[in-house]
Amino acid sequence: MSDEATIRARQSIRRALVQTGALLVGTLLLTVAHKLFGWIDNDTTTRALMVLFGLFLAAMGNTMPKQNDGPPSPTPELVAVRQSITRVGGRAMLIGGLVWAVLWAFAPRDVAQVGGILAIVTAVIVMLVHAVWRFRTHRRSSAS
Amino acid sequence: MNTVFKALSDPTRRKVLELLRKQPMTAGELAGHFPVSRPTMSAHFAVLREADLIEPTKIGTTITYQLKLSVLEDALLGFVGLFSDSRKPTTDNPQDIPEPTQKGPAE
Repeated sequence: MSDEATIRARQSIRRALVQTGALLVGTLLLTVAHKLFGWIDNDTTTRALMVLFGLFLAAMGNTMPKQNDGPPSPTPELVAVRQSITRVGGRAMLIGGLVWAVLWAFAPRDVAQVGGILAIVTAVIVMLVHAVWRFRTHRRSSAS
Repeated sequence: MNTVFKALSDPTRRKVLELLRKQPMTAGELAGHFPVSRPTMSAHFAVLREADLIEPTKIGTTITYQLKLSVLEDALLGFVGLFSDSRKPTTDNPQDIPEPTQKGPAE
């Protein structure tokens, strides 16, 4: 592995560890606040955890276009395809994560459960459909 | 974050980012869109690289620049574009551009 690839891999691992650590610490603090001190009730704990999870997804979506992990693309066309997929995917995941967080913060619980899952599933579908469409368009244009 | 705002404050650099939104381009292709010298363009690229908004990728023997904007930085670029006159011709403003470190053509 080249030096640049090693640096990128380290950055990627560090970023993932920080994000996961923040999520775990948040979960731990909320659980302690609920179970040990009784500062918040069970419903608030669940909602706060879900809001945290939604914000985690939104943060992941926000940084998705900035991450350029993996082997470098061999042609400028493939770089453009990759850029387009990560931009659309990032936007979809950011919006999906924010919708999840807002629903769990303010909506009734049954609405938050269904609406949150719908938001994330829609974001994933948008990302996948766009990726398939871009790859097909690229393959068609490079074949002709 | 300060470097991002500094990078987005210049119309030439915003135009570079808008061009890269469409597709990755080489330094020469990007420089062809602006009536400024190559060293000035190199300085603009350096500012954008420092702000982590573009990334040079070596493909074969050429260096291709690609966009590296987070979703919020992308939104900020659009937001700044709304409130600025993007039709204004770009100029070499020495106060805004750092001295190029190397002479010759853009990277």
